Amino acid sequence: MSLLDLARDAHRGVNLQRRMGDASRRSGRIEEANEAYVRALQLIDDILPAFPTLPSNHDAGSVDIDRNIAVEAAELWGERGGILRRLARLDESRTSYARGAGFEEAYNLPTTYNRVNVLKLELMTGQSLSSLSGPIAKVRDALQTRLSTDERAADNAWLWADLGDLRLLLGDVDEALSAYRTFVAKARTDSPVLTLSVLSDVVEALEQNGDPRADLVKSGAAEVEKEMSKVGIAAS
Amino acid sequence: MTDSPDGWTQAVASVCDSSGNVRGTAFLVGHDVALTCFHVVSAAGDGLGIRLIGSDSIDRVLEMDIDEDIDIALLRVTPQPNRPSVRISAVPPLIGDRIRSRGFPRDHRISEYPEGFPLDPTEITGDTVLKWRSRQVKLLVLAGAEAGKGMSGAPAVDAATGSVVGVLRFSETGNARVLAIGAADILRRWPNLNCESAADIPSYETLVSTIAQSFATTAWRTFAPEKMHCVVVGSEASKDAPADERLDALFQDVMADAQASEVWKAFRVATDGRRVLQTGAHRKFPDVYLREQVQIASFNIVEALSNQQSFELAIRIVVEADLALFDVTHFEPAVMLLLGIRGATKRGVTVTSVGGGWREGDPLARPFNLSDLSLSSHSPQLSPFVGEDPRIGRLSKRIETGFTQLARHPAYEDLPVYDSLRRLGSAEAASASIPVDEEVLVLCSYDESYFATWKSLRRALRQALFDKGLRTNIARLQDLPTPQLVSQSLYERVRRCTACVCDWTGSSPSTFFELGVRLAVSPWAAVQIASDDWLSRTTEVESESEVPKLQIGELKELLNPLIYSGDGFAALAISVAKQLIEMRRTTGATEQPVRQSATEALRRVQEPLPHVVDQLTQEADALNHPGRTRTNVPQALFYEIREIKEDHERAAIHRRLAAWLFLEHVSKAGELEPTSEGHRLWRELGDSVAADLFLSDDPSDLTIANEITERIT
Repeated sequence: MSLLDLARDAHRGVNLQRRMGDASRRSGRIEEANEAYVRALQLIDDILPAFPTLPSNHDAGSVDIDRNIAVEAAELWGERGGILRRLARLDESRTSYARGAGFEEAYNLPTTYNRVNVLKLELMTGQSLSSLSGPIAKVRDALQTRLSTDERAADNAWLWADLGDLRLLLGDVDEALSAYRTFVAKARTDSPVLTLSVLSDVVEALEQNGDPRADLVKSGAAEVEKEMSKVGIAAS
Repeated sequence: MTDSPDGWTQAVASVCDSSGNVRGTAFLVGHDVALTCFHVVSAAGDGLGIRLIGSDSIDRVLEMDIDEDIDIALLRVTPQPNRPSVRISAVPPLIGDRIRSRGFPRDHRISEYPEGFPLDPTEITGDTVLKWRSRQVKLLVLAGAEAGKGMSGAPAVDAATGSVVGVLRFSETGNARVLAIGAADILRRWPNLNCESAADIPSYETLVSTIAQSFATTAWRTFAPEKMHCVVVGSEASKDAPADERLDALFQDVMADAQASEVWKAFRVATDGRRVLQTGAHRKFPDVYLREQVQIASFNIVEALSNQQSFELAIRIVVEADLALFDVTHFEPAVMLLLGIRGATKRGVTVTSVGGGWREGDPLARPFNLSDLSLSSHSPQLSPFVGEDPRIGRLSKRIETGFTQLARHPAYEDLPVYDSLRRLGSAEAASASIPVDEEVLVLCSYDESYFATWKSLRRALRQALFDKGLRTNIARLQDLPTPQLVSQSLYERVRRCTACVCDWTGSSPSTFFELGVRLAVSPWAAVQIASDDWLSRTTEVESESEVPKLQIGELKELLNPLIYSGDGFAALAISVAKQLIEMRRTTGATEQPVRQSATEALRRVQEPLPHVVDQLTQEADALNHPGRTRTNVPQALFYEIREIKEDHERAAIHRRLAAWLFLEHVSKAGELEPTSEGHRLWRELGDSVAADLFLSDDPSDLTIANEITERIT
């Protein structure tokens, strides 16, 4: 099997275990959920060593990795970050997302999942919103440019969710709502709940950390929830 | 081969009966064919053979094709490489031409003349007419020689060229002259004997075929699942056109071009692994394009109509072909008829192309029910160009795209018929016949000039059927009170109506296309009619009609329509009614030749319906692809409506679950080798369906998800 085939198999298995874990968690069976997440993590950790790594001071010209491999690597690091976040291993989660973000940047991939989640994990692990406003704005600008110039990227509902998150963190609630509406329209029906759940975790962390802009983000998030509830979506 | 002036002697053979007695002379004209006189083989009786000069063995005659009227027989013997043969001259001999021959007369023992007795050089002195079997027969006269019994069947060879100008038949004792069957008569009987060189003479089968040689030699004898089969149907307009203006020549260029490998690749993706229903054989193709993997048949429409055998061959080829290219210039009636047969029988790739100066983008009046055909152009470039002919790239891309679409779109169509004939609904009666006392469907022109004819025809036919005790609705498609699309309602009726009348008058391309569909799909056939006035206008040599002249005449011979005159509707209607009643009496069991040919061809090439697992999985993927977990690209058309998306997602889960259960319980895929394709599919589907079920809050969904997960991990 090629590396890409192995990755495809791994993604499928990870998806199954993650959803099984999410289902268990929704039912309050946290231990079972964590077991499923650990199995998912294991599937990723079994395959990741086969993937090339980026040099620490990477840039687009300094790496020689097939673009398709880079896409899969970014995806695997992102999946890993998501599983670790569910397992509340936030530092490891942030590191994983950062590895995935490295591939996204080096290859100018249309996805921003890792880059946005690095920022969210930074906030969840104690960074203040004001200290990250520069990087958040930078990713937002890159994403807006991408969405307005790349029709295929604009089809991807996740990018609209990312844009909504970034705008919300920057305090631009109306624009965030606009992006979220597009996200909800385009996405699978199960996707918005996941997004709301992460957003809720970010708000909670900002509040716990006493971030001065926590209230602003919280009220924005409440509006998002309100908007989503109009179409039958409620945070879990 | 013996094209040299003296080489012909090697091709001469004695004709022996079953006891080995010499009964006459023959000579080889191809690697498995010899000529002699019919009266020679008649005298030799069963079990005859030929013995070549210098040979000890006798080649048994396997079969023969005879013409008693001109006393000639074409014998088939076992083919052997490097066998000597002699060429038949298409050029009539001149008086004074010197002629030689060699044979086995009974008065000259073969032991003394093992290489045959040579006829002294003689010469042509003209021809004479004899009465033979009540017919006048013209024979060549060779003066200055006599030939004994046993020389019959020997070649009359032009001493200068070494080619055969006749076959010795009679010797007039005392007159010192020999009479020979002229080469012209022989070539008239077997036109494919007319070749530049003896080496080019086709096989016995091709020679005795009444099919034009170009068609017979390019048409595949049997469909080979490991090859790509293509056919090019030329229009009458292109019959004598230079190669540059013909679609077949352009297609040959495409398949010889570097881009042919892209066509091959797309064809392979669409077809590789597909199963032929009858034999169960899976079609397998090499990765790399090899010209010998492609069969290209081509024929001009006039050749296809020249006789019943050619017509049936054309139907078979058109039905079997993976790729069919039709020159639809002027939408000629017979081309439309074959196109209708193709559309009704095959979901392959069909390219319709227009020549005659038309180019893509130019305005073009199209038949109303073919208005959405995507037409290609094969008209040559008017101005000089550098590099490759741009038509090659365009046609190549069109074919490649066709196969790519065929591969990814289960309901791919390039003609508007296939699904309309088949998707009639699930009600038991949906495919049932519409009886004659309910409806008589009339296929005809909608041209204003025909309307008066239509009114008279309908009135007369209604009366004639009433007189036979039938009250029915006689209707063209436009007369049916339905809001349904033409393409749906027309072809449903073309299939289901037992009574169908088709009027050729006016040569409407739509009518001939519909007739092709009808003849292919209905065992009830159609009563075909044509006005004598229109027929004579279209088939007259001097006619200025745009309708091609030859094909209407040939079609008339083949399909035998009832001919009516402008004031003879009552008589016509009585004949039509009689035929309709007769069809009813035979309950659709008529052996309708077009349908029979199409059915026989389909039997060899039809692929099975998609496997239930493939179909369900494809449907599920089209509704909610598993890749959406990552890309989240909307698939529902109105994705803003959450209920529609939920419906799609739920329907996708149900289809995947049904597919997985089939694999689990029917295919027992879980018990297969883990490395097998079936096991892999079972595991992947299980992953996918369980993952989606885990999103649900319904306990029963979660139970199923857990059971599947347990089973596959």
